[in-house]
Amino acid sequence: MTRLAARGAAGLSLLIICLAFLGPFLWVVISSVQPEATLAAQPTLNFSLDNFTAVLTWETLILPLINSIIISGSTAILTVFVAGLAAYPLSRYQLRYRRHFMLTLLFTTGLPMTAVLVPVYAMFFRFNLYGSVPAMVLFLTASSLPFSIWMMTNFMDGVPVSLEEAAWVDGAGWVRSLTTVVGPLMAPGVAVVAIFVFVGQWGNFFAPFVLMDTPEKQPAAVTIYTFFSQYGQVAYGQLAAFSILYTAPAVILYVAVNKYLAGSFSFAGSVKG
Amino acid sequence: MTVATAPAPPVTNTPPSGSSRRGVLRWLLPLGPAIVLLALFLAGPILWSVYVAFTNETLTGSASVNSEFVGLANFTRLFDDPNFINSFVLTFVFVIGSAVIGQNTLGLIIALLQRGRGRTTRSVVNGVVIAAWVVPEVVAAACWFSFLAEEGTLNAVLGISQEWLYTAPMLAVILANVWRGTAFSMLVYSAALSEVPKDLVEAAAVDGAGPGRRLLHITLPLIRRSIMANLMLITLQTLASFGLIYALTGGGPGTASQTTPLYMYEQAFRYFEIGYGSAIALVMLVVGALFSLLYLRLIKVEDA
Amino acid sequence: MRRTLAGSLLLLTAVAGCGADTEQNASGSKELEVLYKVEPTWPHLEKMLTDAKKQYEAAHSGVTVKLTPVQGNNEAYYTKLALLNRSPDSAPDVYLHDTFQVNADVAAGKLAPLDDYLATWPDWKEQFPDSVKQAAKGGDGKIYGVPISTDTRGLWYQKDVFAKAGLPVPWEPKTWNDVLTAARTIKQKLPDVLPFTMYSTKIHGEASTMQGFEMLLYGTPEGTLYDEAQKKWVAGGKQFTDALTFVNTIYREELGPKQADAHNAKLADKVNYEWFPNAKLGIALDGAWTASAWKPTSTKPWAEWKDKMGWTVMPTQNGEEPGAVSMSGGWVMAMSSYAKNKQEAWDFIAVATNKENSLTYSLGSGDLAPRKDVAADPKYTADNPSVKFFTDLASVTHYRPAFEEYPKVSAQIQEALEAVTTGSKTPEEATADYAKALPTAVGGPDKVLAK
Repeated sequence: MTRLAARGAAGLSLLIICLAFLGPFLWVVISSVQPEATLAAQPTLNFSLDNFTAVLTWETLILPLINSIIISGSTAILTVFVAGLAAYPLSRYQLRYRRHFMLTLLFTTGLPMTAVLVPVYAMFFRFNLYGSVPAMVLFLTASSLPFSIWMMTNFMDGVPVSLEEAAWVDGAGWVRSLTTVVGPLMAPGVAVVAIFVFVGQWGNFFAPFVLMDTPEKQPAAVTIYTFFSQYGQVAYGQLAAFSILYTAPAVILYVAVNKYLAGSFSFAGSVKG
Repeated sequence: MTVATAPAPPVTNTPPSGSSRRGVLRWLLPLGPAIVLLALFLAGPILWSVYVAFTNETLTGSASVNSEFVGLANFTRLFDDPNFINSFVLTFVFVIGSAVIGQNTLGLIIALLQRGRGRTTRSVVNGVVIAAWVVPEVVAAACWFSFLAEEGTLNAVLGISQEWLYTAPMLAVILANVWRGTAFSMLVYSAALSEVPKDLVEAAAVDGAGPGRRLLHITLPLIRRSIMANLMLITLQTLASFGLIYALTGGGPGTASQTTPLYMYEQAFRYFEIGYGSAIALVMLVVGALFSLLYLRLIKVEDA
Repeated sequence: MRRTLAGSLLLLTAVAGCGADTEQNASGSKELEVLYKVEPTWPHLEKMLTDAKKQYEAAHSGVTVKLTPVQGNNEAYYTKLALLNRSPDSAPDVYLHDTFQVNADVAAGKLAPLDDYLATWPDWKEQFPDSVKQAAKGGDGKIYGVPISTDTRGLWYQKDVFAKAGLPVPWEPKTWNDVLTAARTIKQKLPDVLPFTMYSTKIHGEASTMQGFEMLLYGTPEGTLYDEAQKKWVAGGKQFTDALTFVNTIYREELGPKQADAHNAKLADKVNYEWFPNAKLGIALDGAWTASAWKPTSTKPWAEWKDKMGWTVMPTQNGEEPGAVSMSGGWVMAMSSYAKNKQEAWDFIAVATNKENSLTYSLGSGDLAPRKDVAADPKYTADNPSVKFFTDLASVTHYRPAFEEYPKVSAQIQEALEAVTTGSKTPEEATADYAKALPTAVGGPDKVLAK
């Protein structure tokens, strides 16, 4: 009896938590289809897609989204590649400064990127890189690396060494071992890191705002920030529509890796150093 | 503690290595690209910040062309600056409130409540919580801006009239950050709980331990490593958190929600004081390192 | 190791190749980069510069004008410009500049003096009044920019609201108290109507300092930010506290907007597009350009504004001479000292600020025209009965102490204003904190006059 009551209470708590998490989304969904939207999440009978058509123009949304895909996509791919390579020796070899290296990486995640951007900005000018998308991608990759290497190493620690031993007996070096044995086993982890980086950069507005020279190169994060801070506090409906269209790709990607997500977060062993 | 919770493999077995020259290459080659990128785009700029923190460098004005070495002047100014002290206290409140208490506890609770639930319940709860985590910062800010507005959803539900962003800005940004960040803790704890052996908990139940005791004496000790790892990660992330607060309150009204990253931004990019801003960044970095060392020490003490 | 390093260096060089533009492109023609700001609701400057680009390029073959817009508000523009100006490679050749920022850049050697070019330009002597020429004068007496706009400030009021509240139309307040009394009357008689708005928060940046605070401070007896005689910044004092007390009264007696609106970046749009046309607002302390929001070409035209709106001076504190106060600023087109092709850059400035283009800008933005021939153009005065009034305010107007330190002083004023707006500090506390922060802002206690 008490068991049943406890179960019911747990279910009720979960329901309340879900509703609380949905609350802030309510306004976006309702206002996006209201022609005269205010800050109140009150549906009226006037259903309209005008807000969507208003923001679905080349300059406002389409070009910035394409830029976002290019910037976030290449950053994610490059990060996974570099972090995957780096994680192998960190996970498999006994390196003297491994612990220091890993701890330094960890501290770096606590550094506000706004602080690093000033010198990065100066550097971009010194080497004539200002406005260069590839150069910005390299910087974004570097800034995503600490956490990605950390997570990748963690995943790789979870792949038993015994599986590799057979390959070593066959005379395989680290390259083959990494690509044929560890890599495939880590695919879910790799996907999670890639998506993690992708979505992180999808929302990053400050680095592109500072490092890109013209609006044609700006990703959607910058456009929506400008929209929100300037125009969006008057055109609420359009802001809501913009938010939905801009968020959709990130959500879809998460849904795609959702089933691996839960298993990718066992960090218990990682803090032993 | 004899029960192994950490899946970390021993690192004693290593692939075959040849001569010592090859020995260096075999770790340097794969680590190379990462080291080069980190050195060029992260370590280099950070070292430059360290240097600049001891100068009066600015973006405009005469000090932008003739910056001078000013010794510790930026740091003495810092600890005499009421706005910095204010931002420091607010950062502390923000980290404790939104990460250590908010995200951490709520994440653990959701993970615990989900145990033994059906697949549908789990995926619905997961989906909703993760959705809040996936939305970009600016969109999250827009959601909360409307949610907390005077005519917004929260007031409608509570049946009151409050300008939350102006009457309780810290509460507003803390709630928004809990909403956005809980998914991370939830995922960490779901993974950790799935590794807790069922028989151990059931044995305790047979011995007559209630749910509270089982949680306190069996489950939590078993996942303590995950707790520490999670606390460390979310502390560091929250310490550096900038975009959400910036878009939601801009640090205001006044300086009522101006945490240290926002104060640093204001000094560096609004008032163009690069030297002073870099000094603030350095202090933040040291604070982050201290927090991490504290957590690592806690784990060590437990293990001893 | 060596291979890795070489590889990354190659990568960097490749990347650098895709980098920013060059002054001289392959075909040997020259390029001028022009930086300016644009907002969805403020396309006027873009229009003027696009016209100027066409005219200039038609007349100067071999020179291409590259227009680089910065999207966002003034603050975003200042930041971007300051960042671009850090290095000669990235600095634009010609740019829009706010007059209060000019001296900081003169001190840093980032602006080129224009005196030699101006001497050969007849328009400068014939069309620009002496007061306007001062707008971008450096501390060294040289001119660093050609004005595209000038402005004055005063009170706008809604006649219907005044009539309903039983207040006189035309309204002629003589003291601050008259203004507050009118606001209180509106609040009492018409609870649904917002009595008064002004800019008083950090989000409005320099508008808060200038339209909000300085319009009050310079209306107090001898109130000033900078003591010209002693060449020192004034650390607060009674006048400073009095100005903040006015703001405090507005918000504590709830005569002003809600906090959410006071902190809304688009407060001006709410005032001009929603509240005034719908008779939901009584009085606004704002600039001469306000009427441009209601023109037929605006996003939300309001044809009846000429009958419904009134405008009057912002009075001095207790009606002291000259009875009214106004502040003036404005924007200029300036030339970078790093510009490689200075003659071409100057030629472009001269084209951009000629009568035709200047008129385009003034008609769109509603800013007061800096040129006499534009001011005299029938198109300019035709649709706007308020122009003469605001132009005449030049006789009582004040200019900001546009020294290198001014932007930092302005930032401190905004802190004080916002604290009083939200009520987190009393006017006295905010003044004391301003006095305390001032020495750091202006570079030493020896530059501050204690009060």
